[in-house]
Amino acid sequence: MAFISLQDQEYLRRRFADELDQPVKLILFVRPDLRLFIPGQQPGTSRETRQLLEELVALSEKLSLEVHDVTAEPELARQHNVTLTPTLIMGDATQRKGTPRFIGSPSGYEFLTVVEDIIDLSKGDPGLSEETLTRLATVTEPLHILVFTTPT
Amino acid sequence: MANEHITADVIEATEFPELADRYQVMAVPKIVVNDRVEFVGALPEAQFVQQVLRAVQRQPT
Repeated sequence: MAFISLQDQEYLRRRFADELDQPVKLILFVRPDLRLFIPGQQPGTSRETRQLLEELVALSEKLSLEVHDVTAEPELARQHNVTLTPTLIMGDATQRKGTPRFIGSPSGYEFLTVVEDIIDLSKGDPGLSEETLTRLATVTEPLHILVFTTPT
Repeated sequence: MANEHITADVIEATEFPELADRYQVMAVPKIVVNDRVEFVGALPEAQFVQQVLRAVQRQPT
C-alpha cells in the first residue's frame, strides 16, 4: 500500500512541476531490519522511510534518491557524520552550503517540512530575509542546530 | 542551507527517546545549538537567528 495517497500524489506532482528548478538528490542512510527482537530497542523506521521517499521522488524527474546501508558502508556513514538511522541528507554538496538533515521518519506534518526543503534547495533559495542571510554569513565556525519535533 | 558551517538536524523525538531524554525534551519544537544554547517553541525568523547565533558569539571576558 502506498504511503502517499493518490490525492497527495497529485498535489505534490503539481507543486513539483510548478516550483522545482534544479534537480535535487536525496541521500538516505538506513539500517537493515533486525530479525531479532531486542528488549528496550525499538524497531527502526528505515524501511518505511525508504518506501516513503521512493514514492516521493517518483513524483518528479528532477528528484532522485540514493540509499546507503550504514552497516555495509560504515566509512561513508562516518564521512557524513551519520550515527542514527534513518538519516536523510537533503541535496548534495554542489547545491547547498550547509547541511539540512532529517533524522527519523518524516511522517505526519514533518513530511511537509521535507517537501518545502526540497523545493528551497531546488530553487537555490533558503527563503530567508536579506537581514538573516547577512547575519548568518558572519558564522565562521561549526554551528550544529538540533530541532526536536514530533509527527503531529 | 545558507552557510557551509551550519548543519541542521531535525530529529523525530519519539523515535529516539534516549536522545530526547539527554536533551530533556519536554515540548516541541525544542532547539539545541552546539549543546550550548537551547530554547522551545517556534520563533519569528529574526528572533530565531538571534537565539541560534548566541551559540557562536564570544562571551565578554
